[in-house]
Amino acid sequence: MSAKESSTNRKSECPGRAPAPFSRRDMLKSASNGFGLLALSGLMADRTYAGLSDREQPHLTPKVKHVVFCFMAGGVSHVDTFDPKPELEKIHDELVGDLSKEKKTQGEGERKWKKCPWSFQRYGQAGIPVSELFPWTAGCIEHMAVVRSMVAELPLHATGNIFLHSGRLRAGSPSLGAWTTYGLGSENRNLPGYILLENGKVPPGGRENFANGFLPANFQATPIRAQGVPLANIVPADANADAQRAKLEALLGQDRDFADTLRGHDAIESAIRNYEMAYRMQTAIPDLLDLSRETKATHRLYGVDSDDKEKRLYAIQCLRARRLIEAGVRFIEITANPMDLSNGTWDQHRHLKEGHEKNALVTDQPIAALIRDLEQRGLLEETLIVWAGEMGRTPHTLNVHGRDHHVAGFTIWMAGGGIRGGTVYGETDELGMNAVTDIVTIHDLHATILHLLGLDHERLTFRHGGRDMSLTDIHGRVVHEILA
Amino acid sequence: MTRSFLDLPHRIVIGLLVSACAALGTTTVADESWQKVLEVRRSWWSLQPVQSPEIPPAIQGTSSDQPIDRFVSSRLDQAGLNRSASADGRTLIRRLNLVLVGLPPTPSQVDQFVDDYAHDPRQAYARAVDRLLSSPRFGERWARHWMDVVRFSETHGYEWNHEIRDAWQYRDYVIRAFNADLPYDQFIREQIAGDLLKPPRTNGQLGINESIIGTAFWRFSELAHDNCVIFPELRYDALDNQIDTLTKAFQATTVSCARCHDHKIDAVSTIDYYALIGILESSRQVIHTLDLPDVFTTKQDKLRELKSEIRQQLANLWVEATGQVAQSIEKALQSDASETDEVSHFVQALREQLQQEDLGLEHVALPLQRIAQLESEVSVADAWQGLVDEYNQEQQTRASFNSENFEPWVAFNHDPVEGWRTTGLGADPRPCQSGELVMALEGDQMVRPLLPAGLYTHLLSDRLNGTMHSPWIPTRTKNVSIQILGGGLSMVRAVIDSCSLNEYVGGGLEYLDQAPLQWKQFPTSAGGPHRSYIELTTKSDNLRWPDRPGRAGKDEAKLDSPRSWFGIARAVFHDCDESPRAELTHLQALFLRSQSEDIGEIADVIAAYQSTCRDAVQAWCDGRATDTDVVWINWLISGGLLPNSIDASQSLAELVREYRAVESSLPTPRVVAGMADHGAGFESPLLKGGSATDLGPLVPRRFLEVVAGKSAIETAGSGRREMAEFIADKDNPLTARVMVNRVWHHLFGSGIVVTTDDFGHLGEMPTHPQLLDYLSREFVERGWSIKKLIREIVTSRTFQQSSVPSAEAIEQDPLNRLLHHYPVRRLDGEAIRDTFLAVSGRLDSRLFGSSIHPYRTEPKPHRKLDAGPLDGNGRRSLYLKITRMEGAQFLELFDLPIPMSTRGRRDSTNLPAQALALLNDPFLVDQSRFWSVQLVARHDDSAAQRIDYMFTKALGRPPADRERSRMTNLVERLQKIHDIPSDEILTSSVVWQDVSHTLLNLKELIYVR
Repeated sequence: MSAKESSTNRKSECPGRAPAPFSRRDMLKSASNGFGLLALSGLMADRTYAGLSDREQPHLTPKVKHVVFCFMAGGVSHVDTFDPKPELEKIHDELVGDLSKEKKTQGEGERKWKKCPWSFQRYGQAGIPVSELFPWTAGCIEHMAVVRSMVAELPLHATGNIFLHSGRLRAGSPSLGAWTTYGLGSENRNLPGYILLENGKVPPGGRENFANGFLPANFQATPIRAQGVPLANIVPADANADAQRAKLEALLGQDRDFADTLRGHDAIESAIRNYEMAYRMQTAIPDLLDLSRETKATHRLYGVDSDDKEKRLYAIQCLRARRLIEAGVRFIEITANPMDLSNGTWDQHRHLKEGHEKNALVTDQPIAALIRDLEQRGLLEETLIVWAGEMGRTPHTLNVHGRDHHVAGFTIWMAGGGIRGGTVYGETDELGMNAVTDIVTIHDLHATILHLLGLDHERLTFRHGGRDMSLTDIHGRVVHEILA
Repeated sequence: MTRSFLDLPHRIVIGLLVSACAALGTTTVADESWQKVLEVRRSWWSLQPVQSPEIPPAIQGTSSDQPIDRFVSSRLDQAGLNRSASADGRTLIRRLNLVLVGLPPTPSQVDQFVDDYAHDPRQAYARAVDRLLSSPRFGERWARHWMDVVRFSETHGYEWNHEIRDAWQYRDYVIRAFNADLPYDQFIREQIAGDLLKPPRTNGQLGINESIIGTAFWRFSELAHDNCVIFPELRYDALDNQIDTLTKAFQATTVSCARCHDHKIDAVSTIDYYALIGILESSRQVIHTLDLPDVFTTKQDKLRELKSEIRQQLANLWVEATGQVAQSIEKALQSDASETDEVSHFVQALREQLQQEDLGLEHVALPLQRIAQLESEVSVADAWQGLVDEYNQEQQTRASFNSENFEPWVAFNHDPVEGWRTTGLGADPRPCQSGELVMALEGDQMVRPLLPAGLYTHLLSDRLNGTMHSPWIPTRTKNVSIQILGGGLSMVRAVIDSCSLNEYVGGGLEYLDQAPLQWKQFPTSAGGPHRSYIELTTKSDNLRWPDRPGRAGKDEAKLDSPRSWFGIARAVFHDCDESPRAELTHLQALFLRSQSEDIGEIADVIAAYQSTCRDAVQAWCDGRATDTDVVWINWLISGGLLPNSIDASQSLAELVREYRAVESSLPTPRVVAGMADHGAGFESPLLKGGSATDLGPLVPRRFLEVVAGKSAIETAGSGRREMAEFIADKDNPLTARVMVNRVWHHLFGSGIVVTTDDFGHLGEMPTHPQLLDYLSREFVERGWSIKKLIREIVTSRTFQQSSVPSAEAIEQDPLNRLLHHYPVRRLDGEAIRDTFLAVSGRLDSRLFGSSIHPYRTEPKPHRKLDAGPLDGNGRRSLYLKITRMEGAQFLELFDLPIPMSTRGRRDSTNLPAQALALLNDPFLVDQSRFWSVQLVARHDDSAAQRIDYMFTKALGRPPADRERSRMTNLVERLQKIHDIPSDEILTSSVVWQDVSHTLLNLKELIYVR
């Protein structure tokens, strides 16, 4: 609970957490002194970002309040990162036999086994092997549960992305972040519950990956860009703040009169209140995202000072993630720039060595810093970090230099609250081809994340299209084995 | 129905079903028990025939009420509530405008109406309704409503976001349909099977087939790579989306729930589902041509006429020219010819050929080369005999290889070939004979090489479109080869299981860029149960065009060129991996001719060439050329021996110029994505548990059993035509009710059945079931007229009542389900944006046309997400392009749905991000600026007068005193803030931009009351 208190104390730098709601009428009355006064009063009675749990009891005792989803788009090679396969050394360059049963999207032709071009070291008490690509992350191994037995459905980026995000192969269903905020609401009524810290690119599957699907639109991701103006329309159109205030006061008067002629109208009153919030967001959001008040040491910790532009931008997003957690945002997703690839950061069909090294350089230190920073601030225990891509990569190659899409066995990891740190769960076979023990599906992953948030994946439902829809449909098992 | 069963989560019901069915080895309830289940489920209200309910008596004191009012009042009466009083004239005209055409009334329209209304409310109101119903804006408004129902989209999304070809044509079609009050049953038929209607509905003014456009309805799905061999589940997802949309849109029934198991609660079985899959699998995704043939006929006839004349004149010229063959060959053979000699093109070309080292056996000049290069000790006679033997033997080898290994499928040399379907304005289904002329459409040559017998799209112009589809490929051999040519990035590929984007499997996909006649091989089967056909398309008929970056090359000029063509000559079956070998019959013609003669010296060889050439050209002149003759003639044309230069003859030059002028005046063919039949239909297998790889028994095609009975559709085609009739049937219990309810929903913000897309057990019950039936019956009896239906509803007192509820009514019926007042609600995103454009004066009232990309700060070309203008060129919102992967941000913020499935009822969310957009979005700033420019140009006496004008323009009413002073206060404050001299206040654009911006932010502006 100390974590909560400490973050409450920081209320002045983030748009505070929600106090008990007023009635709308009370609020409108209290607002009669004008827009500016209302804005200063900090009254938050809005239910815009309220979720199910504001009406119902949470299903379970929550272990965490926040999720940071580090989306490793494109498919990280598991055998090169967290799932070493010495056997590949022995058969390196040998022809691969019949793969006709394996679903593949890459060209036909002779495939050869390919050994890992990086060395592994053991970390932590359990001696968990991590490749040299992730020295920083490896240092956090005591907080991490590495799942080496992930399986997904189809080795296609768009399908894979949509599946990882929504548990369905087609777009149109709510994203995990949308389900989370639907279930729990935002802890901070001033901020959306689901924030996407993005890079300005549209990933395969489209913005549908982060959409509310059939849930109401207030549960969709709010994108915050790494570069330029972070949030659409956050910069006041009025260069002169007095002008905006004058306009808003006239507007508020008009709108209140309009609501009165209708003898009160919920939607209109709520729309009026949204202006109050929007007005405050204009300063609160840039403040929240402004990293200049962070110490130099913190900047260095995350790599915000890096010479590498991509790393700098990713570090900025990771540091912002911490600030958003402090502000009470439920679900934060971070994406990395795919640079010249259109299909995802890690999609190295050809230049595995260069590509994976660059991506590791960009993401490793900032993510590890986020874990460390949260830990230091006592927030790690209430935050779940999920590191996952839509698939892994083949242990074999078509062109010597690359690896292709692979869904039959790959690795993800989770860290933070409720996670049994320093564990490895599940195995692939000796070549890293198929998950063979303790197989974990994407539905299982979803069920586990919801479970940690205090949501029962079987009970978190929404009626749509003639059915009570859920994130995991008829599937999903909570992977208790990796939980503390 | 038991409530407790309903409340079980989906997973538990499925669990029960699965275990109950485990013994049967299927997740479908056995037929016998399904019949029992169905009997129970068919008693559901929406499956009962539409009744003719008795109209309740008028409530005392309101005797003039229409039936609608009586139905509504009787329910209110039961609850002890009253209808609200009638709204005032200003409110009514604004309400009518926003609801019927999606735009606010102009100040003069308001004044006119208010005047009229004061004299004779009923008449004035009726006139206003008629005026709005006949406004072209009506169709725009209601088309957008319908576009939600059919998940209208202009791209396929997924990864490459392929275009849905000219999907905007469908949008325009829907606008025209609503404006013309197309009977709804016809509207249904056209969307489901508009390609099969005989005769189709045509539009003489536009010169198009209207009905066929309707079939784009099927095509708005998200589509993956469509590699349906490796990923059959992706194909079934696309089919599922079509079924889902079809049954929700027209029947408000969630048939998709029966994909893996019988519907858990509604009267839909898995058999029903796969019966529909069969109908869709028997259809195929195509590009339809909209133009009626007669749009092009005159010009095409003119081109034919010119071509025939050109051919005649050319023939004379060419026959004459053949006299020079011998002489030219002699010249070419003169080894001592000095560089400075002036020689003809032909001589030069021939010399090059004679020196070429790898001249193939097929080359016409090869025998000549051999003779010319003879060692001196070998006699010409012996060498000639050697050649004859070599060619005979080689020809025999090749011919027997071909006849042993290849079985003819089809040769396009005379009559239309059965089962091969050609569409488009360029593709004449009747193949042409050998030697057809193709005009060069630019440059200084008159003609392109003559064509062998075959079917071509570019006989008159390579700007005409064409598609050719083979029948389903028979699988008795391993491979099939087709002999084709093409250019301008026409495409050839195999389409497997009607997967419209396939590019990888079944032989892959190839773009043809100036490709000469060649063999292209495909496997006859992609394995297992897959079916495939061969598809050849010009660029404009290509379902993937424009293809993903780089797929069709990077030459911008080629990618953008409107010229694209293909042709096909033959198709053969075979098991071997080779394609047919080129035969040598054209050279045998040379040897046959010389056998009887005595070839003793080189002059005899030259003579043989001379006579072969002459005979070939003569045969062509006489219209009896063979493919062999064509080879010889093309040799002569390419060498330049047969005159082909545009300055060869003045009269020809004139004809060619005229030809080119007519050709360039041909309009661009209009096309749209659609659906077509593909020969005889077939049955699809049931998928056990919905698994794409676990095939069950074949299911006969039919519509839903509960509506159409159990017997299979008897049809020569896919069954779509018959299915359309079941849905458009006046006795279908769902069709009219569903549409009437959709209309009601848009007029009142909420349907009589709130769940517009689900009339099943999980949908809501109708609040006024008798009213729904009364309106449905009237709807059908009045010829399925949507305008009549709307007129009846909006002229009711129920529609005209005030939007201010009584405290008592709110207490008792807070959701207003009984309609005790007219519901206030926010406009949808399109109406909000359109209202801004109308108020600012920026609205461009043009109708129709290709879509405008939504505004984006940066384009994403690899996802086909271009950046459009900030104000969308002032066009109404329904003309902004609907792009998957990233839509129009401003509209999506106000709940424009992502187009995934039928969305008859939109969300109406209330988000801070909306307030942020209205405060800060550059579009709003731009519209405020636009309005202010006009305001400062006005000659107003005072700020107050201008405020009055602005209120009338925006809200259709003058401000109240309190409002006027509030706004003039604002003007004064802004004047000070911006430091404007007080005598310049009326011309200060910065002040009036701020005032405009404030008015555009008014809630009253974006709410209908």
